[in-house]
Amino acid sequence: MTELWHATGVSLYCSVIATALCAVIGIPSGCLLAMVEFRGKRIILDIFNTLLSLPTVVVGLLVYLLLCRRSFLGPLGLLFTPSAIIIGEFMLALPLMIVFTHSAVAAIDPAARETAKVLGAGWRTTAQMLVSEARFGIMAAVAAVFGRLVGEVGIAMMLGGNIAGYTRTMTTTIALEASKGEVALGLKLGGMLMLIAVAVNVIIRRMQGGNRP
Amino acid sequence: MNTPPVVEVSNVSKSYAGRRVVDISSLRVDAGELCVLTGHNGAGKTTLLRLIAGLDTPDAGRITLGVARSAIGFCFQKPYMFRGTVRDNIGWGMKRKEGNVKTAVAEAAKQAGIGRLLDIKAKTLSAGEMQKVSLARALVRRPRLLLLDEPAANLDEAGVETLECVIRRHVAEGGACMMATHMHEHALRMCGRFVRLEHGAVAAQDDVFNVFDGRAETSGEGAVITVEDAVRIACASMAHVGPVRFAVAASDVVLAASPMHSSMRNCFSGAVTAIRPCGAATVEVTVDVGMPLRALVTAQSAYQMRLAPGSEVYAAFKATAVRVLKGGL
Repeated sequence: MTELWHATGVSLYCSVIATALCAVIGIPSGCLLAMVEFRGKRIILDIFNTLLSLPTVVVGLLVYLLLCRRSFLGPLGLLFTPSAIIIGEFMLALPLMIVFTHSAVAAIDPAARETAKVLGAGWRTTAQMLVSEARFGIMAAVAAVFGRLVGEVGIAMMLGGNIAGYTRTMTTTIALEASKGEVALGLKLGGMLMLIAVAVNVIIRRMQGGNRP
Repeated sequence: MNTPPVVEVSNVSKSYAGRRVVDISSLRVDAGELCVLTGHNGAGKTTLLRLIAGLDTPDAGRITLGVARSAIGFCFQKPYMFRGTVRDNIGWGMKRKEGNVKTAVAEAAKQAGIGRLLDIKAKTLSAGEMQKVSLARALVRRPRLLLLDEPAANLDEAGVETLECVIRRHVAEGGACMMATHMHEHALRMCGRFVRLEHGAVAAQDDVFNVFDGRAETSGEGAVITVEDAVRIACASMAHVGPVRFAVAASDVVLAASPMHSSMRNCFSGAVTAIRPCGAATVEVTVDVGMPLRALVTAQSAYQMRLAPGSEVYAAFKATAVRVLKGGL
């Protein structure tokens, strides 16, 4: 039972921090991409869209190469720690956060920005307004990112090393237990994952409902 | 005309997807003037307003503003409401240092007729109420140039009256206003200068309307409107009898030095009370015929007729030139 709670704790810890980092970097970036017109913007969006379909093991491998002992980041000793999982998850989910935020902000009626402009708003006020108007889409982006990360297995396995009581997450525990033929703990963890997913959805739904319109 | 114009449009053109939507060689709007833009859908009214507001950039030509961009108030045909209450929307983006925002917001809301809606969520309002919020949002910044794109499109009669009051007050206080509208009657009531656009170009400009209140009746001489119990105006037809408001375009009024024998059923004599330039080559002559009747003539005609305040002239217009405004008073 301790293993269940510990794995749940590691999973939540890594995915919550990685989601928060993605939100801090991804929401302003997505917003900026939607607000500013420049040459090469389409290419940047295409790159982020392509990164969405990158297999997690590939992201895991790239971050592994970045954190391994022979890399310039090797001396930091991050490999096979929860921090490595967080970095990997952050790299995996950042394009998702940027693309979703960009879509949410770009979908706002162009009249919103024009109204802000005729009312003499500067870029900062306009950006705040756009985030506020696109909040439902951005909340959905945060929920999608968290959902993706809490159920992530490839990166946790490659960068965390599946060390019991330290970097073993819910998903890596399920994979390990299933390979041993022990399905009971795996099923419990699967149920826990489902519960977390339901809880996140309920929270997001309530936040959206409570703030309308 | 010596004061610089609030808006001066010179040789401005704008195309979208190869289609020229605005092509205006010259247009100016002065302080204390209401310029009513009319024309069919796609005539370029909205695009012209957007160009003046700086929302779009002209492909060629120049738009000179006599006021700062921050002194422009713009009302969209379909206003966008930000998240929050009506109060939040009206005061949106205003800094606390801009005086007492709360009082200014309440005052603007009252002017626009939405004083009781201040605490309602703006996105839940009806289309007409949103237009009023949009108007209040423009007014609260005390604009010197109001650009209104179909501001009465969703308003009820009371709303239109409030809008007219706001525009009249703005113009009377020396502000300039440009309004695109399809609602001629509503625009006529405000005695603005009419500029008709066709395919993006100015098809007719400087049309000033005389608007009078009178009493309609049907007699042996047909439909007649009596103004101030003295002047009898013949009109083509009359749907009802009683108080009525009507308009006659100043360009439909003909001036002559001697009595006219023509098909025009309305012919009056009177003295010129005022002459003022209106447009590039025309002057607006006001003749007191028992009511102040304005006529647009070319500067050349005014010179040849030696018109001056006090000159005795004859003013005439056709019965078909009388436009009865819906509802009257």
